[in-house]
Amino acid sequence: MCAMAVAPGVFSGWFGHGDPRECTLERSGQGPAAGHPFGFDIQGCDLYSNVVHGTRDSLTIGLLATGLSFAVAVVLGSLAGYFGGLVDQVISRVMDIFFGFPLLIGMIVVLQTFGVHDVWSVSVVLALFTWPSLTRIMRSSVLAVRSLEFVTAARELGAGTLRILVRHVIPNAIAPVAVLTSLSIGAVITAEAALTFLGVGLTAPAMSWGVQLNAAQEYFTEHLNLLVFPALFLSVAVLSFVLLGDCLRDAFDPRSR
Amino acid sequence: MSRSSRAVSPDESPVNRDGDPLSSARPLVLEASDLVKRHRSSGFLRSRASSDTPAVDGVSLRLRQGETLGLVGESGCGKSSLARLLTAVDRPTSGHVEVLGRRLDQLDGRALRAARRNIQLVFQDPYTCLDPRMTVGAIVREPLLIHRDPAPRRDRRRRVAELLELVGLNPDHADRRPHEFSGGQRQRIGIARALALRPEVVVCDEPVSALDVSVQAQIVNLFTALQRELGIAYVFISHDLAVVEHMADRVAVMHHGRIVEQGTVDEIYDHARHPYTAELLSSSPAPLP
Ligand SMILES: Nc1ncnc2c1ncn2[C@@H]1O[C@H](COP(=O)(O)OP(=O)(O)O)[C@@H](O)[C@H]1O
Ligand SMILES: [Mg+2]
Repeated sequence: MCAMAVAPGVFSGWFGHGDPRECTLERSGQGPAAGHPFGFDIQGCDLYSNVVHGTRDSLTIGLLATGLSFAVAVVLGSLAGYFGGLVDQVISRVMDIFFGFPLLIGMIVVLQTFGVHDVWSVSVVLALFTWPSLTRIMRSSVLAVRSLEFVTAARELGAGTLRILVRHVIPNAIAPVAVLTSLSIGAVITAEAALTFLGVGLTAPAMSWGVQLNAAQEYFTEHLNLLVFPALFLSVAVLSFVLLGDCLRDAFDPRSR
Repeated sequence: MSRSSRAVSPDESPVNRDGDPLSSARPLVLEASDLVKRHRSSGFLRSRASSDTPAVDGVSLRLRQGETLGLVGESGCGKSSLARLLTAVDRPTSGHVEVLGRRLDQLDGRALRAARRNIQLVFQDPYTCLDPRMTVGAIVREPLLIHRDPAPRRDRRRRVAELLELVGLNPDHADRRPHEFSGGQRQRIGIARALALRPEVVVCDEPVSALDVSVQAQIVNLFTALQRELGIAYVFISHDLAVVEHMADRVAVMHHGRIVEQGTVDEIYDHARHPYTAELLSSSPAPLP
């Protein structure tokens, strides 16, 4: 999957007809043919190479959005959990506002106000609605770690707040949020596809799976392949990130090293 | 254990244990006056009891160089709360703590960091007191990184090995993680960390009560050996009267946040005056053989 995102050309060339933008209208919507295993989309472009090339935008958005919200969650969750008091109050209330919002509607509204719908703006919007749940997890695991005695011990030795947070609290509290983050990469990719399907995500020259599904929505009754193949890739990607999350969970246990 | 073998302090005469003129020749290393700690309770879990009776309620105590003060009392009487006040982990609601003549309870930041070097804490739970993600070497090295002067960079490795050896661990195991060690070995790691800054006072909060009985004796012996070697003063907290009898020069009995009786081991164990002390003694099993 990652390899496909980095070098789609290699994979899309496998069946001989690698260029996703090389289209002939007369083949519009045709089924699989020699050299075109997935058939053609409505513009007559090779669907297989489109799907492969779509991997890049879909994965980029997934990683970018979750990366952003992971960073925000680690910082804000640590501050809220470790310091408590006013800092915690402010951060928690802001999270509450986001939790009170219907997610998809919120994203649609915010995206509507954006002029450009490129990988960056879509990622930022997705991150905007992903960080609160990650932050809440981070906050609660920091709360649990903060009261452990090795944190008291570090304080007693005279360690400063920054050292305690960076050396002791965050490394011991980060596992749950890291696992959840890798699980939500899949969710974010799905959300991007959903937004794009609804017409507020990426737009045509971009090539995410969402864009392809969006294009398929009018035609899939006659041309099922338009729907099936991007959806299949989407599902495989989501599944592989779920598996990655499981592996991370194991890797984070200090006993397993 | 006979009474005479208990005397770890070089002083021969039993009266010296009592803070009388003779032993006052030794400098005072720790002095607490009228310490009060009221835990702030919050939210709907607020209970009337916790806001009315402080966890520590007007405790005063003094400790001289190389001396051991045993602190006994039933669970929940405020022993850990007191330990946290003495080591400036928590701030007292009122009262003050002096270590080597410097007040700890009002300091902040850098000044606090420098002052609390002389008083260290050994924890009850050998499982949560060590960062599971750090190697043993890193754990023992950390105090030397926080306070740069006790060991210059090039000496740190040697100092860590020295400390591990001092508490009876193999320095070659420095790159292992805590989970690879037994409870008793972990407690030794915690002790090595506490000794890294060469403190004058070590507050031990039930350091053996989480350990197997056979291991308890080894750790208790380690404490006495370290005291003989390094001249450390201990505040030794325990609910096990037999251990305290073996370790301590003087004993303080704590009940509901107050120290109800204080005196030499003989005074407390043989001639208890306070009814609670008598009750505590009669309810505890026979002393260690
Ligand atoms: N952080 C805290 N917040 C509120 N109450 C506390 C806290 N720590 C201890 N207490 C209360 O203070 C009392 C004394 O506890 P502690 O000092 O742990 O006793 P001990 O160590 O003798 O068992 C107990 O009633 C306990 O519930
Ligand atoms: Mg306790």
